[in-house]
Amino acid sequence: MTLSSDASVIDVSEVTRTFVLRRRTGWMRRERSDVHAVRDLSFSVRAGEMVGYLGPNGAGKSTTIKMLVGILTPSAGRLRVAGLDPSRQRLRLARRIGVVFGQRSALWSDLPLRDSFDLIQRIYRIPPARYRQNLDEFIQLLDLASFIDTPVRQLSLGQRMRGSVTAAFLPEPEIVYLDEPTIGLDVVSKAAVRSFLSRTNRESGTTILLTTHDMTDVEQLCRRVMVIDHGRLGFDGTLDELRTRIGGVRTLRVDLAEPQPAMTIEGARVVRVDGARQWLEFSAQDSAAPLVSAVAARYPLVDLAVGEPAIEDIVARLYTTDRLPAVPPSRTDPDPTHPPSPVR
Amino acid sequence: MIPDRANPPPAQANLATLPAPAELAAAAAADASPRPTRLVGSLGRLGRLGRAWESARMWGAISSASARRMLRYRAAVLASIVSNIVLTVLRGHLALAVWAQRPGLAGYDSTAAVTFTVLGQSLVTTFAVFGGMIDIPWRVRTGSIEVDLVRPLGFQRWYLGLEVGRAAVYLASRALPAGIVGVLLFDLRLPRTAGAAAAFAMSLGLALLVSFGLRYLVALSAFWMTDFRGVQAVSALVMMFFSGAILPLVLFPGALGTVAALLPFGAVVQTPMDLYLGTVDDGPVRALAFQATWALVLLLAGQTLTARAIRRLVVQNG
Repeated sequence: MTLSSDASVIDVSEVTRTFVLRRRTGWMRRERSDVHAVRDLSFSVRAGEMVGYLGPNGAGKSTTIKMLVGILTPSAGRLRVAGLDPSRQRLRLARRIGVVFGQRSALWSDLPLRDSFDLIQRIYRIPPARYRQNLDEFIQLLDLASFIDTPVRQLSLGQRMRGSVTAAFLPEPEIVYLDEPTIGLDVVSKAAVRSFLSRTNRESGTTILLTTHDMTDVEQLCRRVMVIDHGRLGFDGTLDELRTRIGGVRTLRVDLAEPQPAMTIEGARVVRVDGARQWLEFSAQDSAAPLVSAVAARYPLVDLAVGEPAIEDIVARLYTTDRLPAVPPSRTDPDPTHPPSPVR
Repeated sequence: MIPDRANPPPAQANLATLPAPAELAAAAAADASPRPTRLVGSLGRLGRLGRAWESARMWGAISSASARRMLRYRAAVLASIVSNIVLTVLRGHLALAVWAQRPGLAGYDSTAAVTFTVLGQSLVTTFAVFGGMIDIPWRVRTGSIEVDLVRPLGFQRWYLGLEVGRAAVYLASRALPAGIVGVLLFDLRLPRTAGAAAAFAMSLGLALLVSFGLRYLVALSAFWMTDFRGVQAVSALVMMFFSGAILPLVLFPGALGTVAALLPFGAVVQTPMDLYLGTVDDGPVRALAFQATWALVLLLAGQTLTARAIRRLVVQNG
């Protein structure tokens, strides 16, 4: 694997962003306090990567994106995007990136969706043939045809998001940031946006950084996951590594033929009983198969389902349980006689 | 892995279809140099003239979008046409009554007075002397301003582009219909010479710049203030009063008159009017220079303040 630094398009090193809060404590008296939105953040993203940026609300995700697009300066540290200093070279950088700011739309709300796209063609000077080709493709991939001539303010949330995504990708930017692109969207829109992102990343090599609370987004899209909380990067690796490292629990939901008292099964514990339905928790590292056979051998099993740990739980565990070292032990273990424990 | 999971594992399925990181990196490395230029490249071939043409088309498209956005509200447009016609007729008759009582007031005869009133009404609406019409304060409050800052265009220019579209709509939907009715109802004066008409036309463009320059500065203050409405109300009053829209500035006595003649507000209504009526004291060139100077000063001030406003947002996020 090549990890040469020249291929990286986003370089963040020891970036800190402090906000000064001034609170009035009395007549003419003010108290100053510093809040670190982001602290000693370091990561780099190579061209063509698709990275999921996770963390609870207020963790520093949006602050990071604002710094990456140049509308917020870091208090300390160094930031380079496509070789540019974002806040100093904001306009130059703007030509090369695309941004989808969650619910804040760059679309013209009173005009048909198409008009916003036409204006983007003019602003980014997309050659007409190329523009038509891109737009036709996006209309098909994101299923825009039925509402492209509808004023944006009449569109549903999902339709508007698909429009915003189109607007961000039309000028063929090198890097696209998406802040919560699937939040509040209907199933169809979510699926359309996901497959569009996946395809564009794969075929055009567009670097994509997206923040999300949606586990499915991460699972379907992101090879790499970064987790931030309280302004610090707590994890940077694959989703499986994250699951392994955090441990965490999976749940087995079983439907029995008739209501039973809570089951007693080794390696799992019942966390909830509701009529004939029971929920068991077991370690995420364990296989569900022996557990299922143990249940099936002793109880009249009708149906079952395995639930993965939710990303919120994983993130919460990352920060509430013991503070883990920055790198998983299995990676740094210098002793070759102790191979890293197998994943699952 | 068991077959009957509630959540099929899409992660694994999907990852299989994705290229490996090594492939991605290699593809990206091979792609890195040509890709940024693939759209910019088409620009390089255009040459200076071609680029100016593209730029003009872009600003035309921005102004046009701004205008079309307003025209979507058909009922509002119709209502504004009617209300401006009614207001113009009322104010025209009022002027006639005043000048019938005080002939020669302000050095105007009654034809000049009624012309002043009808034309003044048109200028007031076209150049938004009543203030506002730049939605920076709203965008600052809602945070939409961030969208403006990731656009590869200058902030002030963008809003000027929008303003041109707005003024065009107001000219067509408010000023012209009311002006036509005014011409039909009253004995209005027309520019005496072709030169006066040309100077008037030029002064309209400059008046728009001055009006925008003023309102833009007011709108920018929203970056520093939590409640913008006070500034907005006061500025609208001052602008209206000193523009010459309510009373001709020549009516202002003594020192007030001197000051009013120097302030930029007169460049929005009084100067175009004087050029139209041919009542400029020192010739049209001086009047146009007065407007142009204020336009330049205000736009430069706006540019400086824009940089500070954005800096404030970017550095303090406040």
